[in-house]
Amino acid sequence: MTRRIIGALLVLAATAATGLGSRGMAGSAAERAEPFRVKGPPDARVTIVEFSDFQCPACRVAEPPLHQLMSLYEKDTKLIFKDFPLERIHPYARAGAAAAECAGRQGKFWEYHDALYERQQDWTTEEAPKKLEAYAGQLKLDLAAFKACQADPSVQKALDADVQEARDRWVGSTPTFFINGKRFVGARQLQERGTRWIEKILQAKK
Amino acid sequence: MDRKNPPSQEIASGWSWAGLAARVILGGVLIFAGASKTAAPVEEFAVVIESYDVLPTDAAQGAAALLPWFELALGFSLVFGYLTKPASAAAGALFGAFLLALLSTKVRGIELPNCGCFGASFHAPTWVTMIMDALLLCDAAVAFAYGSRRLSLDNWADPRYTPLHAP
Repeated sequence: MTRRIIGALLVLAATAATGLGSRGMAGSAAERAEPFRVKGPPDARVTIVEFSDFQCPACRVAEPPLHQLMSLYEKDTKLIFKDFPLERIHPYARAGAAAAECAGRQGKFWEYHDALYERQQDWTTEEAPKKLEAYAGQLKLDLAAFKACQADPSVQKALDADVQEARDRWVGSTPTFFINGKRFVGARQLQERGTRWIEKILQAKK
Repeated sequence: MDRKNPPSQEIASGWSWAGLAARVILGGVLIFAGASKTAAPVEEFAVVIESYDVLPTDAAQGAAALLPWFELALGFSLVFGYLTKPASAAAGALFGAFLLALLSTKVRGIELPNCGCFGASFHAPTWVTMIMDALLLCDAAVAFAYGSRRLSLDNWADPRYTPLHAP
């Protein structure tokens, strides 16, 4: 009997040590971002930080529920967009992110952001550079400045900082949302659990 | 000449080694699967379970929190040879359920971005995952039948539990 108990304790100890020892230090997302990447009232009680990839179909699918959430809690919610291009599987994601950053520097980040998701299948081809420039033209951006910006190393540096932050926060999939620090991965979690979480925050802060 | 039927003893001995190997391989796979999931946030695994579209979001979250720990416990039970038969049966049931879930996604035309087998570190086509799963199911059967005969806590706790050679 004693040997059976020792065996059980050994299995439990090994399980606990491996499970707890393998855990990463995943924390919440920082709220620092360029002002053009922030949407909503600055003093909002709810902050959603989104890590997204412009070439990712799941991110496009998450856009409508995110917009719904933003309009439902319009006065209480602000959104911060951060890039996490998954370059291994989405070869045009980084170019899209850089183009959006450059549109943002000319004050049209959200318009460009929406265009990239709406026309995702159109620009995620070998013709991406041409298409990205065409969208900039349609939004009446200064094309010379847009092109110069795309070649500016500070744009890549800004993207690298977002990617590093995503890795530090143990973001493995896109889109990942942090609502006042709590993580939600994908459209379904955002829509179902995220809404309940926002309601809880707003009720607690009344 | 040995009067105790040496060929059958040799066969029994061979199976006992095969059982040990099967048990350790199965346990190792489960430990790796569990550890790669406990390493990441629960929501990351929950979104993979959701993609199978068999559980509601809240249940997927619960399963994502518990399943990796269950895999770890089963894995260590098998590696140490503790309650080998129940652990092998549970591992077989787990792989069987996983195989059915994969089949159902194929039937319903669901494209899985990731099977969820080993966290984010493993991406393979569904058919590869199904073959791997079927092999592990066979492995669980060998571990169930012969796994506790050598170097197991079951034997250490009670040598009569699974004698190497039946009288």
